[in-house]
Amino acid sequence: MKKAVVLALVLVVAAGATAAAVAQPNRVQRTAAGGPSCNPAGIGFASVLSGPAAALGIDQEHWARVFLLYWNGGKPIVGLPKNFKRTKIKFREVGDSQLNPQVAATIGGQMVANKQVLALLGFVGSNETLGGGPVLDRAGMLYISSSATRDDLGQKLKDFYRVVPANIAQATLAVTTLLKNGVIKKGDQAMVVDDAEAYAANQADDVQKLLEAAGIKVDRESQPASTSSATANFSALANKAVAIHASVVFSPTQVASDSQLFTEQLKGAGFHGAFVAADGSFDSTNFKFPGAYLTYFGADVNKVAVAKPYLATFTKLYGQTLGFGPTTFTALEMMSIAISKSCADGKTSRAEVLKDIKSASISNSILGIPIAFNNAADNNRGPKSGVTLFQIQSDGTYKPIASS
Amino acid sequence: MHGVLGFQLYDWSYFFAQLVAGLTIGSLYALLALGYTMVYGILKLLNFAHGDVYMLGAYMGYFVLTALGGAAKPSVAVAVLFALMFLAAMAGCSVIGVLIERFAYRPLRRAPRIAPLISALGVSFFLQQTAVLLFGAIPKEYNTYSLRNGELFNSFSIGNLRVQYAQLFVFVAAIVLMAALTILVRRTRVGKAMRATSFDLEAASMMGINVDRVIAFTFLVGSALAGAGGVMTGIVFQNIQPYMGFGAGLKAFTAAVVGGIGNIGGAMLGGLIIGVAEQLTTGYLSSAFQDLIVLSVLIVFMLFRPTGILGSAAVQKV
Repeated sequence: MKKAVVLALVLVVAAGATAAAVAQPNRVQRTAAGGPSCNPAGIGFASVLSGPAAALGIDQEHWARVFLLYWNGGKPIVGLPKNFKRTKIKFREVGDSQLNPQVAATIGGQMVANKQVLALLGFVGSNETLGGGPVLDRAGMLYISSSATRDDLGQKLKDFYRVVPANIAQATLAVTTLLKNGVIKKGDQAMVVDDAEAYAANQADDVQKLLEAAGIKVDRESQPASTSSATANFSALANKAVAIHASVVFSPTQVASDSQLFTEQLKGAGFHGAFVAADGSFDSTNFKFPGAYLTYFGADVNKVAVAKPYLATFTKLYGQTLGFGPTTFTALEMMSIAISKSCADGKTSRAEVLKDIKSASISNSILGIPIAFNNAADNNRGPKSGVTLFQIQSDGTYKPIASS
Repeated sequence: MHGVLGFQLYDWSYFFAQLVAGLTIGSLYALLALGYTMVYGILKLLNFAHGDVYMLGAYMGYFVLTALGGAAKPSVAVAVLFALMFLAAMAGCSVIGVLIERFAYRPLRRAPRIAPLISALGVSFFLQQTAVLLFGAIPKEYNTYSLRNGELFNSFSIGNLRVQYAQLFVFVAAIVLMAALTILVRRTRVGKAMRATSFDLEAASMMGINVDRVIAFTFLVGSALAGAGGVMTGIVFQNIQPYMGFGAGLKAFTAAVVGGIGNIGGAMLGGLIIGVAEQLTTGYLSSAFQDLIVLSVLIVFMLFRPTGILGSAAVQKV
């Protein structure tokens, strides 16, 4: 009996080790001591790669790797001039920040310690950025996020950049468009539901302020998303939305299938008002409730003509995209441009990359819009525009109805 | 802001809507709580892996659903589809439950109490990460809203009471399973053996009861119920993901304690109470207080009635 137990334990450990080896290929490339190299230039990547939200980070990583395939292979990249002199780029460090600010700070230290890492592609969440950002600021390292949209990041953090507009842009577009189209009006009742974390709470705060300024009463609620350790259940909120005669429900959750569930449960409870989600739900395979609205920083990558070849490559290598990662492709494109400019003389440094990122811009992107860090309201750390309000059609497709 | 500072009574139809929703989620907690309570009754062990068995049950149901064409275009009748999903989940989870008991808990039966507890935590993490590796971290969807154009979520009304067919299905199915368990425990030989083992394991062994088999059977039954709960969760709440077991397990454990840990009727009652408390808190106060209220209920019971609602007057123990 004891032998059987020992054998079972050995098998379990062996299985675990094998699984870990298979699932976690060697991500860390450490090099000999010395100044940062331009051949290839090294960057770090940090995202949520394990835990309940791992799907988001994995989608981002896969889009980053698709970009590197094109960039290092010399293939055409949307928005990049044909004769642009590229420096090859390589991941030197990959960190799993787990949507945890303390872990993000540790990852930041890891990036700083590796002298071959010129810049960081990350973090994924606003909370992590607040945790890990100061570490990178002290080291004078550039970090570009493709998804951290909390309003105050551009003001609080020194070397932080992002390729997506801040939350207020989405909130403003959504509220002003619905008011203009008569979907909501002064005196109405609204319900605003966040998913109990930094991004959605900030977005919900923005929406609440705008609605209240427009004379609309707001019932503010909080419902953790299904990417936490439970399955979200909106039935109580759905019943409440009907009872308070809400004419609109705003729910900026980061989980598209939660938005789908919420809308279905609202319908089941007899709700007839409008539902508005945000960029976290931008996924036409999982959120397709006809009539619902949602904001996003850019266009649906599945519908952007210039994104087709990259999407095909992504699908071939990794299957269906979650829709969350395409901005990472764009963020890495901007970073690669800055690194290439800094490496023009064969030498580079973190300070040079930081200097060159200010002038980086692309005339078009796989998001369907040009990108530059020119939004004064965001301390010139993010783009001015790029928010679109969509309405879901009866066939589940997203139709743009307003943009900024 | 409504809710927190302004307590709103609304009307009776609103109360019944929240009550029905609470009974639905409470039924799921009750099914899970039964597994906790049964194992604790015999082994005095908190099986933290139980929530993850429920998660695996949800995935088994999902894969059967997908294999039979998915919810939008099933290749068999809906009744057959659901029957196969439940059978697969319950059978699969039973096997997993027995294996967990055999390799993670039985060797530690004579060890200090902390050892099987740690082993249970280890099994929980093992199951979660195995699910991530095998199924991926992206949530899967049952998509039952597309089953026969969402007929399952149509509702009927009796006066102020409005009930969706899906809610009725979950509640009735849970009651049927709990009734079957009660009959098993009260009216069968193996049930008698289970009660004897929970009363005094050594004495039962000396009386000729094969306690190893009885314990394995207990895990089999508890895990089967968890598997059924997983499928029902998928049907009603759509999303399943590898970490869904933790939160549900915590609520179910709370339900088992509130009802009286080791008491089957208590587990059922505790589950329903917790489910209704959650929904009414969200409905009449604020969703921000949902978990606070539920865990406060646990603390109040621990302080004033630590044996739970039915714990002290246990008619039957498993």
